[in-house]
Amino acid sequence: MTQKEFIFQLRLQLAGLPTAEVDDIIRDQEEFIRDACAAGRTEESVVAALGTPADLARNLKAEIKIENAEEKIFKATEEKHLSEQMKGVFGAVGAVLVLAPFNLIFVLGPFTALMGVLFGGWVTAVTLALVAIVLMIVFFGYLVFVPGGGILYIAMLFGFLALLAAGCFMLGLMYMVTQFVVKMILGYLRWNISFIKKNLE
Amino acid sequence: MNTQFNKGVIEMCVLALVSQRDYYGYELVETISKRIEISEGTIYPILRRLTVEKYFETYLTESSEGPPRKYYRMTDLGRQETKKLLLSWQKFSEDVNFIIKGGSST
Repeated sequence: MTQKEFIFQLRLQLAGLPTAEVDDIIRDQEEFIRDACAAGRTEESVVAALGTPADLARNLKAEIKIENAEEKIFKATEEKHLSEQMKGVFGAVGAVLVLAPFNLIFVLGPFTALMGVLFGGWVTAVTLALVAIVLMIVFFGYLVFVPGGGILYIAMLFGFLALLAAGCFMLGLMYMVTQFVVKMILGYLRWNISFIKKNLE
Repeated sequence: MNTQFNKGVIEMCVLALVSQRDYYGYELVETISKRIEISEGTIYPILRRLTVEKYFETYLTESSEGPPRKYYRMTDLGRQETKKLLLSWQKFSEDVNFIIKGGSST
């Protein structure tokens, strides 16, 4: 293969990466081939020693994808608000998913299940709190029209307050659980990447 | 040769060389392949990664014979990490040599 063919193939194989990145890689390869030829080697042998463009492109692409995923995980870790962290986690999971086919099983499966559990928890907590509030509004509205008293009303009021407290407690609990889950997922993603890296080398 | 072993070793050679002075790509390949057999395509992904990880900085220098060359210069971070890496390599190779020579006691 000549240098021209090698560079052409490499450019094809690198399609999809940012142009600046591709140009930089091509520039490096051209410099290398030029220097090797200047040292007295033939173009054919230099290009052959570089391996196939497909192999080189695959290596570089894999590295760039890993860097991208690592950056997303880092950004998610740095976010201050839980909602922003959660958004970051979704991005990071997406970036880690494309690193290896087996991550469909090891990342997407458990992640979907965890999100389901979290979602269920939040819905339950919000529903509890909302139901308590609605009941109390109805209760006080009813009192206005039918003024009365007695132990029953006080008992009902306490019942609603207890319901509201349970809702709020669960909201707080879900907040902490979500924080914990986010941390756990990011930790697992980091481990997942280090595993993939080891097997790449 | 075991490729995993090889890649780590090449990376260490690259770090050790660039910690001594600035190098350009072909120079590194030439220097290392005088002693160790390497596939030349593996060097650039390593150089790229070490640059992304901020162990190296690059700069272009006009060369007399044509387009500019990209040189690799070690950063302070790279220097710290190289020092650690070389120390643990030294310990590791001493231990391996000891075992190879038939040592078994502490």
